Amino acid sequence: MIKKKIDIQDTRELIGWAYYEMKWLTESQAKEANQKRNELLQSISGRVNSNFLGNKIGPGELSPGCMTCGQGTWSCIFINCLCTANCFYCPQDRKNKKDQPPVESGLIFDNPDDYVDYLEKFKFKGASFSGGEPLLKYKKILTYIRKIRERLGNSIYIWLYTNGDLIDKDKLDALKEAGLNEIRFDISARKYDLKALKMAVGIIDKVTVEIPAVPEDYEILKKRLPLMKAIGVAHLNLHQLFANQYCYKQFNDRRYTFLHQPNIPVLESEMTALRIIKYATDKNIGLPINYCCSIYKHRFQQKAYRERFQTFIKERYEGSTESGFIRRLAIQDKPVNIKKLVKMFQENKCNDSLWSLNKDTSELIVHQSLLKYIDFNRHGLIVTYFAPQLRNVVDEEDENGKQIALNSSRNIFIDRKFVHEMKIKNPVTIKSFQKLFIRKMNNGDVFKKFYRDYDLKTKADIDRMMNEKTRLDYLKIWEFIGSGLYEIY
Amino acid sequence: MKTKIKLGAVYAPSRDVVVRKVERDVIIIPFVSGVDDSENEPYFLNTTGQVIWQRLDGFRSLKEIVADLAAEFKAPVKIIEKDIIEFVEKLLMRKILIEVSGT
Repeated sequence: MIKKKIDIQDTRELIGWAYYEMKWLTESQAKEANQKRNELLQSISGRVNSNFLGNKIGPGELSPGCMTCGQGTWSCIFINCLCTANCFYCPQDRKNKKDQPPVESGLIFDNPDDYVDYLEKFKFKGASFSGGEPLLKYKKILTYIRKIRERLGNSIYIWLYTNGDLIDKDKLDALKEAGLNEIRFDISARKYDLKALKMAVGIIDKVTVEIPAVPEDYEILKKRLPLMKAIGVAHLNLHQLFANQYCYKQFNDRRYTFLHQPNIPVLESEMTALRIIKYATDKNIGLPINYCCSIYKHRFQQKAYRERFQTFIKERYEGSTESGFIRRLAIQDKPVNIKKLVKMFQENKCNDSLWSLNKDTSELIVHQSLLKYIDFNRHGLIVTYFAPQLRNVVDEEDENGKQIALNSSRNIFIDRKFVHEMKIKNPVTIKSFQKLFIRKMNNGDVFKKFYRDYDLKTKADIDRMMNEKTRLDYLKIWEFIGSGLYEIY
Repeated sequence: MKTKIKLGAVYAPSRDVVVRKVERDVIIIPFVSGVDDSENEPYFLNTTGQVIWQRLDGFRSLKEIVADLAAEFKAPVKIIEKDIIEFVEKLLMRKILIEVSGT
């Protein structure tokens, strides 16, 4: 309930006035949609694979590239932003006629050597080229691929996204020779034409179709499935359409239904992807299909980003959550009481890198392993979450930012962004917090004990207890990664 | 969706509930995981509810409980039966009660 409220509130805030011109579900429609989706999932259950905590479903294996994404070792460089097509679902500014330099996670990589240093430094196992239409920068891509292969050998899997407009045999041969492992075609940009695919099969090791699940194209896609299989397509990746400022109007024109989720995905797109999976499994087409839903990207790609960079800025006395946020635990009290706690840590021979005192001795940050020494009947707990943030240039105001040298001439900067803070005073809530998020005990067992132990003297305490329970649930947003498809509302 | 209540059936509290007494009230908090948080809202038992709840022990059938209460409170069986059925229906919907055996 709390999650639903927050999602709806966040979506409204993010979209602003446009929210009211977009189509959303009523409660009863949402219930019906959840039921329909459950029926679809039930009908394919046992016949499809479920990967990454049920966030990715579909028959057959995932591409090695998709595996690196789920494992958090994928880098995608946007080599340009111009394109030869004009797809209604494109999340980029199609009016923009000025190209941009290659960009990955906001970092500019004009120099291919810097990019390879970046891949090496952060131990990436997969690298892909996207755009715009990347083949508009075909020669540049060749240079980047050659550099990656030359320096990282076969330790990295490389693929390229294209709409196929500019593909020809010579380019494919050169890409293969440079070391490209996989090519992914957005055939929806070319009315599901398979010519470019046919050309690539037999030259590039893996030829994949990667398209959004467009509801209006269900029938044509269904017909293409056996043809794709016959041609030798290795994988079909189906994305869930999602809205942003560049495409929501086109989605409105098509009367799509938007969902209150991160990235604002389209309901009909998910249903189309699941129907395609059902059709392909019913007919035993034998084409591996990967439904890449919007919530998967939000959960796993952002987790990967946070985990990759947080290690450079996390202090020893801080912890990290399952979803990759930095978690800081602190006690605030009078200096005299704070000093008593420090003294106790010292008496217990605790490593002094596991806590940190602020200047006026009013706040003590403690590592989770020291919580057992603290009497929470006397102290509250402040929980703060941070996320790492990459920058091309140093933020002068951020004292805690770290400079990372990629090579002798290129640095990047990582600093921390405040995400959320919660003060917990109730000792039973603090105990439950530790059990739930630090000791990772079973949710039901923790709350059973919470409800049993919470001090209830008056009826007003019942509301307080339920409020505390809601607050604990709220922290799951930053603590847990989340499994399965997202509830529809 | 309402479940059909059988008078010959035996019902017991689910394992996934916590029962607390606050002042004169008894509250039941279900915590069925995987369902909407609204399902976890506490359920308040009034005096009548408490009397019935105490008897839903997993051993006695509803028929026996009805007879027991009718004798204790000297009330018409039909009225007690109606109250108990309504009460059990609500608790089953909230997953607070489970059917142990039905006849």
